[in-house]
Amino acid sequence: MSDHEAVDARLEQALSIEFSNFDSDLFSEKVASRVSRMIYLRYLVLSIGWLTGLAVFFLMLPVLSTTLMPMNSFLAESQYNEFLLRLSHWFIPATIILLTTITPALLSGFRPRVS
Amino acid sequence: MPDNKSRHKSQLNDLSDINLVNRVQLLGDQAAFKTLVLRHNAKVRGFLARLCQDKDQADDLAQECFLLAFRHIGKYRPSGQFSSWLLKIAQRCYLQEKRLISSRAEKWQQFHPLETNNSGSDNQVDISLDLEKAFTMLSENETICLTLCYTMGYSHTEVADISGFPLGSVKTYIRTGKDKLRELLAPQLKENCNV
Repeated sequence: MSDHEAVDARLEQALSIEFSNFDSDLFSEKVASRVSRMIYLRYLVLSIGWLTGLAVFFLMLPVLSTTLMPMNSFLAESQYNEFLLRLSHWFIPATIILLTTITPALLSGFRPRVS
Repeated sequence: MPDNKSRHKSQLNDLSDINLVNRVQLLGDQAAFKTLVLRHNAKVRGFLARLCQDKDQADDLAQECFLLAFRHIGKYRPSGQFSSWLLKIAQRCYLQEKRLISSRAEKWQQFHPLETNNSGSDNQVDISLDLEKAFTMLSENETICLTLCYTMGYSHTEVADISGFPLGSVKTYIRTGKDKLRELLAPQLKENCNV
């Protein structure tokens, strides 16, 4: 083996020494506690989102019913009055409740930090 | 009760990476994730320590890396090794941190224009540098490629996949990095060969 090859082999050997001297237990404990804190915070934000959504929905019910009152008289004359009445009474509040409850959860939980 | 816990722990230790990842993906099993952290933290921390040249900063970044991995574990596809996926995240964390630090430094230099960084590579190279010190003389890309290829044993193709560099560039970085290291460490290496 030439001098150059021997130096090369020694360099490769030095490079291939794996990383050591790391306190794995302490590190994994730290990561585990941060993970559980992250999960707790995620659930907290999600439940706050749901509760806010529900509260907004129930607070808006009286406003919705007065807003939809003139629509009822208009819809009563329509051929599909029953269907349209149901739609206006269920679809609109359902859309509102979905938007108000899902949006905070979407905004809070799933924002990636690495782009 | 502690018996059950230790039995569960040893059961997790017996599982492969893929099985542990599946447990985290499907059940949100934190113990399984902890086992993965125990298994791979040395690689990630060593890789980051070599890039950052600061063990504490590397540990902070490694924590961020594992948190990101937990958050995005649903996106992991078992086509490659789990460790290479982690190293990919680690590299991104490092680059993001570096960008942040350099932008802060730029702002800081606006107020302190006379302060200059004298730790550049134009200084006379001390011939007795050891391997870790020698890595500070390499470019970031050379450090990444050499560490992944030699210390972690990944193939050139895998290094290209992890680092995001084209395969040709990976080969070039490895060759130039190795040449520089050989030059820097020549006396030590020759001495070692003679012993």
